[in-house]
Amino acid sequence: MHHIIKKTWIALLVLGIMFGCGGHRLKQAQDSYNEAAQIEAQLSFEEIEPTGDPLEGLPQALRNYHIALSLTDDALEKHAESLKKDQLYGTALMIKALCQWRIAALDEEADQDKIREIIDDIDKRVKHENIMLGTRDKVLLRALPGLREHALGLQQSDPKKAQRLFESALSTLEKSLSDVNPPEDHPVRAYIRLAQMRTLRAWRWVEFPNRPKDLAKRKEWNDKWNARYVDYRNKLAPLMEANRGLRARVENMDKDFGYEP
Amino acid sequence: MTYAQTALFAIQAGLRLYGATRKAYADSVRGHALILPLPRAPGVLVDTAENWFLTSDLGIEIMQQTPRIRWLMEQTSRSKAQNAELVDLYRFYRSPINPSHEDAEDVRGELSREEMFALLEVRQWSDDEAISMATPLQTITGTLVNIAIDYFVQTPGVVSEERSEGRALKAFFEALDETDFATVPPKEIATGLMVAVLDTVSAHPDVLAGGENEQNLIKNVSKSMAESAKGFLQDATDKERRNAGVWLQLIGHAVFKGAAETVLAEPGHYLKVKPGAESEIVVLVGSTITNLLLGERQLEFRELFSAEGLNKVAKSALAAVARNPEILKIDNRGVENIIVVLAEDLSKLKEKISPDIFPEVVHLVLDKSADNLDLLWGKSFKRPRRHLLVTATYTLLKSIAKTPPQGSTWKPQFTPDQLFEVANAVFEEVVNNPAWLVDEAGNASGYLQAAVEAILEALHKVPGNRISAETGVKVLRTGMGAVALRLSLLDELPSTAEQPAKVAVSAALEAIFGEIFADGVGAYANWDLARNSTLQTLAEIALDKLAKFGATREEVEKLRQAVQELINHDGPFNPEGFAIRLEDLLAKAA
Repeated sequence: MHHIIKKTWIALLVLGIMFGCGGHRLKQAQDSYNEAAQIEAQLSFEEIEPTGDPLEGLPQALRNYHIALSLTDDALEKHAESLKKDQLYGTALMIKALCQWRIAALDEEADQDKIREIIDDIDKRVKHENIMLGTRDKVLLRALPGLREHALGLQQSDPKKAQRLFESALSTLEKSLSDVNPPEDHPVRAYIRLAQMRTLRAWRWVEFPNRPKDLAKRKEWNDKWNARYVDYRNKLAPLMEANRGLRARVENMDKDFGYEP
Repeated sequence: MTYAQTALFAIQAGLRLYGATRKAYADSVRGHALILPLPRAPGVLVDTAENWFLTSDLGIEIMQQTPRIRWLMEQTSRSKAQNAELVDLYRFYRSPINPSHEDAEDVRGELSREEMFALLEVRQWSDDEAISMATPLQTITGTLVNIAIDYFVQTPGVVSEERSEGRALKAFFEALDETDFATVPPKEIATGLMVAVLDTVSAHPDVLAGGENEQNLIKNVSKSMAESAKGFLQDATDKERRNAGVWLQLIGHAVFKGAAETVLAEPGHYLKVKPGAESEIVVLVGSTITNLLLGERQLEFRELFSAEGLNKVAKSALAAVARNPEILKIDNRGVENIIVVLAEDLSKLKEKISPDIFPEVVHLVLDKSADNLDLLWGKSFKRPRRHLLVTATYTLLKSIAKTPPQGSTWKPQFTPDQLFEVANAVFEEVVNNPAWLVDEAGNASGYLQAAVEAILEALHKVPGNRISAETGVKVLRTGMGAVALRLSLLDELPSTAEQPAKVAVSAALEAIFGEIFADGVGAYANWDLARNSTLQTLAEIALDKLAKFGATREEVEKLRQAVQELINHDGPFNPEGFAIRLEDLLAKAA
């Protein structure tokens, strides 16, 4: 283990023991998760503008996700009561689910079904144990199965199975928003829409070898994909007007998709 | 339970594993923003190119006009190389510029990492949800609690109302609770100030022991500084607010530290006016410095302050006001006006004079003003530029900063300490005799400027590598002292066949340096005399004697004669012998 990570890990544990408080431990887990996600996001940025060695980053992100997961597990195991009392138990479970989602996405050898178990567990607890979730977490709880299906669809070699997975992913993501109905300006809405556009992009690539041979029919085939893409894109339009970064992001996705607005 | 108590208890809970409520902290953990990576998907591949060439107006037009693209598109099966070629053609024809960006820059470059992270960061609540759930101040409670936990991680026991730190923290929270942050996000203001309070109380627990007066002081000062800062940050950008938070922490630290070391340390010495006035004084000084460094001219003034300098200015201002509250007269802005004018003047000279001297000058001016206010500023206190030490500062520094005339060989860079020494000497003279700057009718007089420039004129002619800046400072002080005793040293001596017209003090110094460093004088002759310490003594004796006997052309020539005798004398320099010989020559001439 890299010595800096080791030191960080030890420091986090010491702090955790010192405070003995689930909330504080959870905060450390969130920070560790965010560090990992930041590394991952940066790598995806550098794929576009290569300035570093991408191979350097992913193991580090993976280690940080594992640290965050361990801290969360520890908090859930040792401080369950205090977390429940502070209404942070649901927050902790969601961090656990997010860590597991990313670990499965980055490490093919990781247990790919674990995320399903965690989501089911959270679902049950929310229904029966009065566990509280915030708006973002409510949406993500419903969206995570869809995000998992997206990842499985990419790994699938059978186009029909992939199609089912992507189709399901899109509707699961849609349902996460319609069920929770977060406020129009909630950033989780933009996230889900961008995820759907990514899913559509991945799906079309899997279907591409089976497109029609005739050029005119191929145009119709692409028109259909574009229509679905535009459908999601239009839902982002009001948010894009107010958010320059989001607009830039969507325009880059247009280029990846081959769509000209 | 008040907000202050809630926040204090939240910290105790984090540290001591107990407590009635941790709601504020828990809220912040639950609301913590998370970065959510997007699911992975392919970038630009051959399906991208096909889509664009088949469906977009521009793509279709290009395909129709470019046989190679049309041929590639018509193939039902392409090789890998042909697919790669199609992708390259797509990249070539598709504009790298995003349509909504008018500045013709590639959007990849425009979207910085920070913007990308901000885009992927998803908060728990929307803005409206967050506002409906908590007051703006409550939204940052978690941040404050985290800072306090980090701060007290080694000594958790201090967060108790039984301890000074705990009482100080409670007073601080009470101040924030009473401040209306409805229009300004409080995060930077509150965090900067809190660290300042904690730092100072930890460093001075014996002084800020947490009695009622001290708690009131912390509360009132925190509140007034937060209010001042709030006024300036209404329309500030995120970056400006972050910078303001850092400055507020430095100011708070300087003001609380200054208070602990002056008005609170020796209340009997400083505050004979009324009990409890400590708080009022510190509030005024705190607001004054906040106004300076967060106000409209913040950039100009921030250049003049280091953290250490800020401590010095705050302490000087507190000590001066406590010693003589009259200095605050005219809408309580006396100190502020003095500091602003000094800052303006020094800003004008910053190319030549190091801004590091600013805190020292403020200290000197305020210190001397507290004891001599009527003398230095007149009874009406109307205009800061009529303050004699303010005038003296600018006159002195402007004269020193003046570019030496062509042909000058001595061009020293004075250190802030050396400038401070000269300023101190000059201020003492001005306090002793305001006529240096104003005549009896109250009109400006030019004696100070004339004296400084005359002495520097003589020094500028000394070969550059022969005397140090330190010696220059000593000569300047000595010259000022001599002029203080005999104003005729500033008279202009008429020209002669050998000498041009010259101010007496300048002529005297030139007589000394000119003889000792004359071209024909070898090392054997001036070995001892050319030492900087000897030169200082020589100048001191010479100017002292001329102050006593006068400094006409004839007396200056007697001085020259005495110095020549020294050069011709084979033996170590004897100050007493030189003084007796010079006095003898001057007495005979009289």
